[in-house]
Amino acid sequence: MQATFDAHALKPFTRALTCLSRYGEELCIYASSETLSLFCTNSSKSAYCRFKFNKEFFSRYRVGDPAKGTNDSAMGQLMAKSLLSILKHKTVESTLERCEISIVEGVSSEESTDETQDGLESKLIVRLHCRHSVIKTHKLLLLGSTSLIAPGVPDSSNETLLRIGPRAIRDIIEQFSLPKGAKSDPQLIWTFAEAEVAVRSLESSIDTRGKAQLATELFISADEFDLYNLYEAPTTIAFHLREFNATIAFAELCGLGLDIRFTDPAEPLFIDVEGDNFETLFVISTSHPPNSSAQVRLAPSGPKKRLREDTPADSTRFRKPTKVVQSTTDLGQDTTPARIAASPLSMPLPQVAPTSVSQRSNFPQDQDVMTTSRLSQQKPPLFLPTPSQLSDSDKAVLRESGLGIKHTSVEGCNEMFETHGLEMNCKSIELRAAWDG
Amino acid sequence: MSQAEILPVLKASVHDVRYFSALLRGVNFANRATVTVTEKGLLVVVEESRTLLGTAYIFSDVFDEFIYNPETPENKGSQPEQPTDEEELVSAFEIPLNNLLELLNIFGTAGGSVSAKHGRFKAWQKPGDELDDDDSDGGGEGEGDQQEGRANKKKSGQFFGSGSERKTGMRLTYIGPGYPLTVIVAEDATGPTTTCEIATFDAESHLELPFDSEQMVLKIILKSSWLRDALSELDPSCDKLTFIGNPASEPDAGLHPVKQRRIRMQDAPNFRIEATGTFGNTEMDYPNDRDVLESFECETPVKFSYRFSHIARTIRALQTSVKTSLRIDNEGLLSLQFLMPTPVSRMHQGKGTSNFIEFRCLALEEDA
Repeated sequence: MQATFDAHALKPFTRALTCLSRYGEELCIYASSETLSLFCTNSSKSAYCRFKFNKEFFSRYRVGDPAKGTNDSAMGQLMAKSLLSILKHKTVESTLERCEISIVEGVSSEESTDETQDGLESKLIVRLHCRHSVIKTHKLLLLGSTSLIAPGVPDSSNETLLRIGPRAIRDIIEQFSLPKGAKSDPQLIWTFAEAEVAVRSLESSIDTRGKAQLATELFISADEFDLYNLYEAPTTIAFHLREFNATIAFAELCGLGLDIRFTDPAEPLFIDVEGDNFETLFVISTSHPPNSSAQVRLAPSGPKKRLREDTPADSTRFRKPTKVVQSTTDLGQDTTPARIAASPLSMPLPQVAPTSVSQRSNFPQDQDVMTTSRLSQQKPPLFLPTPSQLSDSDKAVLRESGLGIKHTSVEGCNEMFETHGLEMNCKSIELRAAWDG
Repeated sequence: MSQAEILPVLKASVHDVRYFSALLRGVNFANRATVTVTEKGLLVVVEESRTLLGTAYIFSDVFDEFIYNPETPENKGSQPEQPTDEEELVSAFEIPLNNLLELLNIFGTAGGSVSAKHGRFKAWQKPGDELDDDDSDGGGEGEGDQQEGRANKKKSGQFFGSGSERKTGMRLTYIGPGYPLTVIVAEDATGPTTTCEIATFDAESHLELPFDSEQMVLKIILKSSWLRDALSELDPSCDKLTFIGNPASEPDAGLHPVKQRRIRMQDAPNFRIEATGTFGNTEMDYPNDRDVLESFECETPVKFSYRFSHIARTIRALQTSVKTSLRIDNEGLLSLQFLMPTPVSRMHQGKGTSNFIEFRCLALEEDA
């Protein structure tokens, strides 16, 4: 893979890298014939960040070698900080004329006799051409990408869509005097009502230093948002700020607005930022704010894991953030909408990695409602467009299968659950039915 | 001998310590420094792991007053060695260098790397100016620490650009072996003064790394900013640094100059800095462009490696220096000479000798 970009494309690229390095430590690069993706997950897998650069972003972009018939994708993993420190240097920013990034695969049998080929490991080569013909070549070793990860797909039927400019959201966050530091991981609780939004800082009796924290609550009108499509009011979600701040900082530097989508509390939050020849996706896990009575949980699979998080016994106990990503083997195909499972059951599944596999595969045989046996293969490459982007024919397929969300009845759901002896909170089904109604 | 007749071996004073402390800071990488006093000035030598040798040559015109009274044999007392060379008598002692530097910066104004144009520095100083002189001590301390750590981004020409700031003046007195080095530091005559006595130790013989100019295989003179940028861009985790020189192949003089230049550019780079570490490796290529390499002499391809941590010690000196001369001899001994900007001297009206800092480093043994 070889990509070249010039000095003015360096800025968004380094901004992306800065944001990625704030999300997680290891950065994955995936180059396909049309796009270059950089993505990473944080250590607890509760936040995911992906930047996709179209090939128009680069002045030159080539993947694979058509003559040799190598597969047209390249992939590797490296430390985000190393790449960032190379590109974000002050001298680089002022003297760079163009930058070439290439991935050289390790296995080279018939490759050229270039002395730079190592032959053992894959390398990411960053070649900076600076003023006065000074050339700086950095060769970074690529770690073998062992497990690919991708986020779960949101179910958009009950999704709330908000659009807000970065300055406005930054003003909101700034009001909170939150402890800064590596050890603190502040959370904010957002309550979305019809016409206003209440943002509250999470109260905990003591913070890390044993001092009582200041609790802040602020109300903003929904007019601050450029778009405010709330699915159901009121909705309350809580999520951690560390990654959210990185996203806001990126959006602000690039001057782009944020599209925030979320469904239920405890389903992850999706943020889209689209720019000039690139698009980004951020997924942040959310949780129920403690002391809240709502216990809406769809946990058809992996009940053990979920129930543990459910117990509100100790409301001030730190809640483990839910995973937003899962392992996947197929990373490139983001254009197969038919693979989406539109059922409410499978929607939360992607967040619980291994246990979901076996459970889900039970359904097709018994119920014959799942669209295809493809699901049982458990290979949903989850760079999938949201269901709202499904083509009409695919929508028809889903509707036919009888499991469109809007057509599920309470009885049908309960039946399903009882058959499999799964614990279900019937209250939640009733609520869902109310939405469908 | 009468007590009243003892003249101090060294008496030196300067009204603004910034230049002096910048030179000292360049070699401040080890605990102890050996200071050698000669007629011409001071030599501050620091050594690390028997491999790296840093020397700061501070000529007497840095000081406003520099009086050297070489020790006579009677005064020396029990010293076994006696300077017997005809050229000049020297006195040497060892001191902990960082103590001296901290002392010089006690009022916070000895960080010559930050000029008045640096906004933050100015903001701090302004309240300090209004306060009583007694308070400036405490305030200066904190700022001084910050300055020590801050990299010098300004050109060294700005040393003397700010006339409105408070300058720290200093007077050095060294009576002789066995006596401490007395340093009096003050901002101005009316303000508080600090007197400090730094214990001196007998000078031990330090590592000698003679550089034979006859055996030189590579000589480059370049602006310090290039080398400084290169070193700062390298990943700090790398462990080996290699300098590679390729002789410039001269294309036919008969060819068109543009074509000549193209041929020159396409060849192997004249000067390459390679760094290897756990992350991978980095290569920086510098062409034989006059803007980059002011002078380049290399007959045969040269390649020598050094431990990165040693070369990294030179970054401090690089920050204040203007030009760098890089020489390697046939055994790989690297000699880096950093030329400091010329000081404005009171003694010789504007004709001060340039001071420089020299680093010598032994090469790593290459596995064949």
